[in-house]
Amino acid sequence: MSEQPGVRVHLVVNGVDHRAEVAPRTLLSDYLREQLRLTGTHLGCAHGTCGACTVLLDGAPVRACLLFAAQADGCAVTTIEGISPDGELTAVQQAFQDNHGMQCGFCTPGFVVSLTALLTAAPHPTEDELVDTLDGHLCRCTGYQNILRAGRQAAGLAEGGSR
Amino acid sequence: MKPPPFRYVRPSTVAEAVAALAEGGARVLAGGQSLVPLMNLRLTSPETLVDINRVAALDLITERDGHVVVGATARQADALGSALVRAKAPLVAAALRQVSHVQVRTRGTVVGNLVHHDPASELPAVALALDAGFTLVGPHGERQVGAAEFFLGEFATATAATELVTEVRFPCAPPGTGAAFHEITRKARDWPLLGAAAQLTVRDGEIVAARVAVSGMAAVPVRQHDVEAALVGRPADTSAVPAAAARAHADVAAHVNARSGADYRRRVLPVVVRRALVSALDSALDPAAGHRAAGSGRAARVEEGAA
Amino acid sequence: MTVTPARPKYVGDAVLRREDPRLLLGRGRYVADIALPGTVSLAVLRSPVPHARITRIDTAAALAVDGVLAVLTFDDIRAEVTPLPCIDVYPDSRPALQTVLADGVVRYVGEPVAALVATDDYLAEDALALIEVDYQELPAVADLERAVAPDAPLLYPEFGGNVVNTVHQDVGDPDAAFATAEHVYQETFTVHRYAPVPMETRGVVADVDPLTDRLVLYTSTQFPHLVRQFLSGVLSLPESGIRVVAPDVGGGFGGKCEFYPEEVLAPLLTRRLRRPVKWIEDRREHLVAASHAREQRHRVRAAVDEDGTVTALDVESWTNNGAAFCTLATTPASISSAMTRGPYRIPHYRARAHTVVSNKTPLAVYRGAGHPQAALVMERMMDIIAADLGVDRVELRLRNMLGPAELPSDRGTDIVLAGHVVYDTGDYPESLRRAADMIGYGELDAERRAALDRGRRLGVGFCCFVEETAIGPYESAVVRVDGAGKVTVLTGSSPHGQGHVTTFSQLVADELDIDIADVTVLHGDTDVVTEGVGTFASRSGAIGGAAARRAAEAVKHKALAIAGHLLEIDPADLEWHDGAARALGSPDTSMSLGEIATAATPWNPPLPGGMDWNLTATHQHQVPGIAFSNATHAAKVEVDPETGQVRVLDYVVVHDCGTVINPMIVEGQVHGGVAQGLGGTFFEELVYDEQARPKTRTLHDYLMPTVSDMPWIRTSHMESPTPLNPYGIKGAGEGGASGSPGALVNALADALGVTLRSDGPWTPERVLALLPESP
Repeated sequence: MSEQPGVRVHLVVNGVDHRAEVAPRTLLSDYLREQLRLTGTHLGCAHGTCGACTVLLDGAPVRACLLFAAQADGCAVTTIEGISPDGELTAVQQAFQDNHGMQCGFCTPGFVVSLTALLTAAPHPTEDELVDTLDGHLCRCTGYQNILRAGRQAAGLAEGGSR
Repeated sequence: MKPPPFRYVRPSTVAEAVAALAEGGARVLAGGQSLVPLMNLRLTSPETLVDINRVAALDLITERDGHVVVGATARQADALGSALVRAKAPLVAAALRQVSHVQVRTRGTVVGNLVHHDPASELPAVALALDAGFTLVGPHGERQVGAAEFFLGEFATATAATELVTEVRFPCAPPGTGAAFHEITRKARDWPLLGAAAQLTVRDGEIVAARVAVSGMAAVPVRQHDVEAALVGRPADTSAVPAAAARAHADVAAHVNARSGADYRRRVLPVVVRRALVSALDSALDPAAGHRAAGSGRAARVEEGAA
Repeated sequence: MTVTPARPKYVGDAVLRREDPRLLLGRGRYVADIALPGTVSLAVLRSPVPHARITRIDTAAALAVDGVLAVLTFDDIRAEVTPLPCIDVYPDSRPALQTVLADGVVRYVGEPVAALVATDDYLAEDALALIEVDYQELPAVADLERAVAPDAPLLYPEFGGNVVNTVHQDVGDPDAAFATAEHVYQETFTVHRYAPVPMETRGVVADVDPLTDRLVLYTSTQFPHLVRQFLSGVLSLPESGIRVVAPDVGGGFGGKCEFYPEEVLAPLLTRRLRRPVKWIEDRREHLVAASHAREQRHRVRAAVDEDGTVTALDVESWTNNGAAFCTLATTPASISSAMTRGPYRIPHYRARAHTVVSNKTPLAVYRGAGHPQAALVMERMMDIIAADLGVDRVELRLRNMLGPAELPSDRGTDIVLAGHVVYDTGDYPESLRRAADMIGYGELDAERRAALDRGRRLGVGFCCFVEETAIGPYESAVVRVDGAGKVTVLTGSSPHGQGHVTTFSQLVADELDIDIADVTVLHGDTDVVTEGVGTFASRSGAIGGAAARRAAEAVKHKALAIAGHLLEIDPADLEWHDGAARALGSPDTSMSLGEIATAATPWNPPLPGGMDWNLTATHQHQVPGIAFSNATHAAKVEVDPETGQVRVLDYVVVHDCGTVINPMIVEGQVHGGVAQGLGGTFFEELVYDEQARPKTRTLHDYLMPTVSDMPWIRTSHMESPTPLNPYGIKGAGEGGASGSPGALVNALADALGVTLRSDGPWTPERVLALLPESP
């Protein structure tokens, strides 16, 4: 039970340098939430299933609950708070509001982060790529239809019914 | 659900990693997409984690001696996005597309998935079908293990606790090869109940090579030599497929893979094998179909990385 | 005084949600996000065994750990707490009440045994493992049938049996109807165990406010005011000493319409330690410690005439309640027994609905409460009868359905806490006809053949139901206008994703004929909104919304009176227009809402007639009766007969929730409910072994739908306003979940050509087992 020696880390989170000593077992999600007070990264399951804690690690979407903060040493992390630093909704965020792609909002940051990563890597993804990305997230409120609508709007894909 | 305490070691060479493992009580941390959930659930409590993610030599996807070589820290997303993997190891690409989610494949590694060896997982069957080779480095040096000897049981492989699997090698697919992985899940992208890996090579209108293995049936993936034999030398159309698929067999272990019963898996096995074969044949005959099936991954970050 | 009705500007429109930007930017504030200085972490040790006597608890080793501040067992708090309340007991219920921590006996895996506080979450979890507990195991029972068998292990030996409540519903003379019936059908249906699983688990932060020495409890709940009342009762502390805050709540679906042990433990510990105490449920404990739902078994007999008229229904049902009463315990049995007949006349009816204790996690309400079970049972029965009589299933339903001219219809049944069942308005037959048309029922044969050519089996299923919504007893609202003409609405209905801020703003903005941006809606803090009920039972839009609009209306009347006084015009000669009082025929003579509000503040000339200062009004909206929404769901599924995999090809919902405030939000509610019903029908199940040990421990086991699993849902709105609500509004929150299992199971049965008697979940394995193995 004894806590192990700390690990010195240097992360760039949402463009800001952070240096800290963390316990090896500190999950990245807890580091972001508890130490940096970036509470938009939500913990819905802590076993990698729900996707609510998704952040970008060097631009790629990852589950922050499945990564130790020590592993992110030297990496750039983008959280939901860094998706729109000026507080204006991005096209992805606006698409969620326009299409009622959210209700309780708990899962929403994860969806926004993943979708932002997809559209950064591939501004014109296929419907399959969009669905593949959305499939990595659980939402219990919306039934996904309006999230898919939001994704299609943000990706410039045709609206419409069944896939 | 917070992980138990552990000692964190971050080597920068294979030798350092192996030395750390030799101290005992250690687990290798690569992608962590299977290990960390187990730790968060406190189902496992390693004393030490040896984080190999900064061992630069392990971060590679390259072609060597007729093989596609995937290093221990190459991500599943990187392999999926690799033109080399899609062209020369199409079965790996086809299977990877069905492994977990985009957000997990960005961290999860090909080698880690194989070493974790969930018997329902896709890649072990792929490795077996392709006769993949593994390099294991331990305190007594390096050894090579073939896929047929690598998978020993549920969550058990030939890897000793003090050994590091540094790479896996998949033989390059000859021209005219098509591949497919077909699996049954309870819901989209859930863990498979069972699956079939199939790779067929067609030349001059004839099936000249067949590689088939199934997952989720027993504690280890099961190679389907009877199915393969029933295909090789047959015309490159689906005429031989149903009879060949019907020869699929596995000693179904009821206790393994509790997500479905033995009767179900036994009954569906030939269907899964048949569908994999049909898709593999399609892609062999129409490479564009194979390319579509392989899907798109993130652009390879370590393409042709230095060994 | 003439009050020109405000021209509706917002109600009925798909107004985008005002809640969203904050949440989209990651600025939501859920319980876990609250960080008070000096906060310590609470962890709960839970029983690993389903039924046992606790013979020893030793906390010394845990207490010895550096950083562990306190460990409580029931003996430490026995004198300070009463059992947790249950609010829906019947007079003859046996009170299987749960204690805050186990009192010598544990009755389910997950039951709280001890509470530990440490300086952080990691350490608290480490130290929990050091609490030593000796369990002397007792025989356990999980299965409903076993629990009611004569030799069943008893959870509460003092009760002499495991049946703890029976609801009786008696309408007409069913025995006579059965005696003369042409056909009698008897079937038994089972509904499995679900969990609501909101994406945010439960959580609490408790603190003592140093200014007032009052308890402050932040909790992820659907009903903060009831939590205040319950906590007051359990701790014997006046409500005046408690402030409860529901911040952003990440979904509830009924699972947070409960008062839980942790909502007592954290307050107890914060009072002892004088430090803020935080508990955030993890997902593994959520699946055993938060309320479960649905599990019922129904034995049904139907008396049917030659022409397919169902004359009587006789239902005996058993609800697997788990180990103890939740806050809402008998409600699922009460609702399902009261509502089984759905939209059908069936003049003679009897139900005996037993609530049975077992060694599973306590069961309570989940979106739809007893409705999904009732609808599944009735709609399966209709298909079975239709098939046997050779009558088309839509036709059989239409023959038995109450028509609009037959409403209102006293159904002769009662729902606990809600009242007597009298259907108010709706056009049930039109709903079914429209759904049949939308799903392409007329072209089904051709589609079936086309599917067979592809090696697939296609089926269509319907589920028609009527559901209790908008129950009372009341909801509160305060509307206050400041001197800038900005409006604050306080509502007692605390949301968890339903968009109250938007819909209530729509109602108030329309009433006052002002811009929606000028309306602020506050909720969830019992010090800000001093009275209220909460968000459950599809009640908020109708009851909370009506209260808010009524309060706005009162503000408007007061404003007209003040304006008349100041303008020296008879209020009868004023009209309300564009957020201002103006003289009829002389639109330039007017006073804006802000001007009137300013004039109503102190140190202005007194208001007329001794009127209260300030432009504020309070309204408590009371409910004269239950409003009944209705819907028809139609599903089209395709089965792969080689693998047993099912794909939902099409899904139609024709629903009627009275006047629609915001169709976008209503549709969102429908979608979410359908997804939950679909999940339960195909994936989701809480599995226990025979010894009552839970096997579903993570979200790897409790499988919920993702985007790929969902069909595209097509909705059609009907609007039958209810006379029970001043604005015609009924509830919309639960119907999606109520109708989907029935429609999907019926579609699956149609595709397979077999009689299904449960809601599955219909996994590929279970589906394939219904199909003969081809030679």
